[in-house]
Order: sequence, then C-alpha cells, then structure tokens
Amino acid sequence: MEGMGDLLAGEQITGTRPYQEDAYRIVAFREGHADACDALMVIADGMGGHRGGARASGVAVAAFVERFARLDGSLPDRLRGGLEAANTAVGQVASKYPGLAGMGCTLIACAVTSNECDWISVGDSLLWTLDGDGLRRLNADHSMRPLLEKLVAAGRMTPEELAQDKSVGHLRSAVMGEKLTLIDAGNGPRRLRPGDHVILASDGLLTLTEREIADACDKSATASEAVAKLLGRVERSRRRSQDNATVIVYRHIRSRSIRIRIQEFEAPTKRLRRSGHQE
Amino acid sequence: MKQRDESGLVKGASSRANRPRANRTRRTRSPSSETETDHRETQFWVMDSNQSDPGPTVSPKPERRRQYLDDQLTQVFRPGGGVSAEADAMKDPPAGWLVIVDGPGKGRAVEVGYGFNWIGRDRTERVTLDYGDAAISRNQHVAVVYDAASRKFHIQHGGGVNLSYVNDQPVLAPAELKPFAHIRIGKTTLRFVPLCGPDFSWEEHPTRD
Repeated sequence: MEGMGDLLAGEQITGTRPYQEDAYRIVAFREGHADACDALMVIADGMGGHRGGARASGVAVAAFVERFARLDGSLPDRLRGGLEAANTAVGQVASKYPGLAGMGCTLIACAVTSNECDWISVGDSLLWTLDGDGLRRLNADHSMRPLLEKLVAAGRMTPEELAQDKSVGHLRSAVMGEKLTLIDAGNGPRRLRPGDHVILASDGLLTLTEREIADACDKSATASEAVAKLLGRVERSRRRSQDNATVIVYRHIRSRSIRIRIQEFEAPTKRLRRSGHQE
Repeated sequence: MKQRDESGLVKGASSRANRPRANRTRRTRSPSSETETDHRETQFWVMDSNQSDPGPTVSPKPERRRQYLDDQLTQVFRPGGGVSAEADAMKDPPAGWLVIVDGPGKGRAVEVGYGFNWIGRDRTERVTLDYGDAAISRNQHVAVVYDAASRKFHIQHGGGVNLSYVNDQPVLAPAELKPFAHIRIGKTTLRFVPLCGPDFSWEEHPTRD
C-alpha cells in the first residue's frame, strides 16, 4: 500500500559489512478486532561476525510479530509476549543447529495506537520520539558504553581511555535464547501528538548525530522521505567502517490516520468486487 | 541512494517503481472466513527486510563467512566471565580461578585474568560475585592481580570499609597471593586456583593463525 509511505516507512543499507544482518518488519493492523494497535515496528540487529547473525535477527523479528499479532491483552503484555517468543525462537534454532550456537541479536519494538506509543527493547538498538522539544531517546543502551561513561564521569577512566576501549560496544543483554538479563520497557505508554515522529534504528545509524537525525525528519514531508534522507546521509558520510543500518520512521499525523489509509485503500476494491458480482 | 517521494495515496498494485529497492511490500488480504481469535489475519500491510523468513524448519546452508575485522564483531559481555566471541577467547585468557568453597554460590568458580581483577557484587566489575552475599561490596571490595612479568599473583584491599582475609589474616597492604590460599570476603570463602605461574604462561603458547 504505497500511500502508507507518508506515515510509515523502513529501509536498510549494508554499509561496508559483508552481510546484511539487520532485519525489520512494519505491520499495520486492520480495524475491527480487539487489538487497539494501529501499527507495530520491529528491528533486530544480528550480532556481527557470529555465524547466524542474520538468521537470529530474521527469526526474532518473525517470531515477535507472529506472537504479538496473536496475543490479546494490554500493549505491554503483548510486547513482552512477543519478546519472549523471539527469544525462545532464537534459542530453538540455535540449539537445533550446532553451527549456529551463540547466535543472537538486539531487538527494539514499538507499537503505536491512535494517541500513544509503547515499546520494548533489548540491546543497543535505538528508539526516539521527535516533537517540538526535539529528539528524545526512549530506550536504554544495553551496551557497555553507559557504564564506561559513568566511570569517566567518576574520574576512574579518562575520555581517551574510553575512546580506545574495545569493550564499549559489548552487549550486556541480547536475544540469544537464554534468560534475558536486561529488558527495557520504559514506564508505560508515551503520548503522541500530531506532528510527532517515532524513529527506530539499528546502531549503524549512529554515524549521524542526534541533531542530524532530527534535522532529516524535520525537513521531510513524509516518513519515506525521512527514511531516504537519513540513510542517504549515512551513505554520503562514507565511513571506512560503516555498520549495517536500518531505520523506521513513523509520522503521527492525526488519530487513526493509519486506519483511515486502510479504509481508503479498501473502498475502491470493494466497489469493484460488488460490480463483479452484478455481472 | 535516491530520495523517493511516495507521498500521495496510490491505490492498487501499480507504481512498483516507487517501491523501496530493498523491500518487498506485501498486502495481506484477509479471507472471508476471518475469525476474532486469529489475529494474524488482522495484519493488513507489511513491509520488511529482504531476508527470506528463516523459519526454524529451514536447514542452514553451510556458511562461507567472509572476513570480519575485529571491531566489526559484536560481543556479549558476561558478568564475571569475560567476553564471549567465538574467535576471541584469547583476548582475555584466564590466569586463574576463584572457587567458592563456602557461602552463597558454593561450588561456583569465577575467572581472574591478566592484570587487575577488581572483585565486587556489581555487574560492572571485572569479577562479579553476585550469588547473594550482600556483605560483599558492590564495587572494588578486593583485587586479585596477576603480574605476567613476575608470574606472580597479588592481592590488594579495595579501600572500602569491608575487609578481606587471606588464610584468616586481614589484607591491609598489597601482598603476594600464594597458590590455593583461601580468601574470605563477606560470608564467602574463595579458594584461589592459579593457572599461570612459573610452570605455565599464555605467552609460551602463542596463538597460531
């Protein structure tokens, strides 16, 4: 449904890596069911260099969406259920094939309703909202970076040592089929107002500063334009080592606009069908 | 990457050229026998990465990995256990172990590596002892140090209020830690088991590529 592109869009680049190990999925839901969710956005970033990194992210995203869509109940419960399904699925595939042992991925998922968004996160993928006050990072960073930055703030490590430290990117929590050591689900839903953006990304997008990310979204009329601008800027920065980068942008226009899009799309199809019956 | 303008509602399956290159856009038409219980049918519009769904039933192809550079490897930090990455166990090889012989977590062992090994309950410590002994300081209760030059171990107090004991003597100043000494911190007793020493060192076992 191409017209959805001004509300919801996602895209990815491989960067300088040999493989694309990010996976993402965006699902818009039809009205008329118990779920109040308009759209679900998921990104998983496969652990690079491990065998099965791409498989882990693909399995996790597929399992997450499948479980989320089946579950009844509150949004936090459905997100939690999706995450558990993703973790179990990754563990099952990894244990079935010894060659894939140790595979894993990060996972960020955000569900939007007519007036709010709710999310769940494991690892170092990124979730922001962008409103009149600017870009706001919603989820916690489960890499070693925040801990090492604390050490710097406490004077136990110098900024130079931090820049040199190889463990900065090590994940403290990942979807690997084991017990999830850290899960960040925030403090309940966050209100969305018309004009707000929700941005999900894998850490490859951090080639850009937060200012550049906000600027690209502010200067775009549609979600798909924002996504193209963001990834275009990443590619133009021509880093010698550019990680896989995936980004999803959601523009909150007005209540239920996704549902309205779906209705607009369905209307002519139904008319066609009816005329077909009459013949 | 070209910028694409997908604004405006395009109805029907036309204008394929407008679609993002790396994506396929899938329309899930709901069958007429849609039921309330099967929420999968409510997925109306799906956009995703170009990966084929790697379902659990698909057997993995033998993988021919291209070379990853060191900084491209994603690694998982494991409290107390160093770092797991297939090729990288030698980045932080063990110099010895501390085995819990008494107290919470009895029967467990933690690894100590080259250089300073600060021991505490907190996950940020190089050696985390978090098996339920709240009498162990969160950070820097005590350090076990392996000096690769002299091939000797030392023990050093962390500077906090809580003391540590080696063979029932309080550690008040840095001292050499002898093989198989018993270290008591909080309610936990650790037996020190060295790997490196006069008869073994990782330097004598260079990694062969």
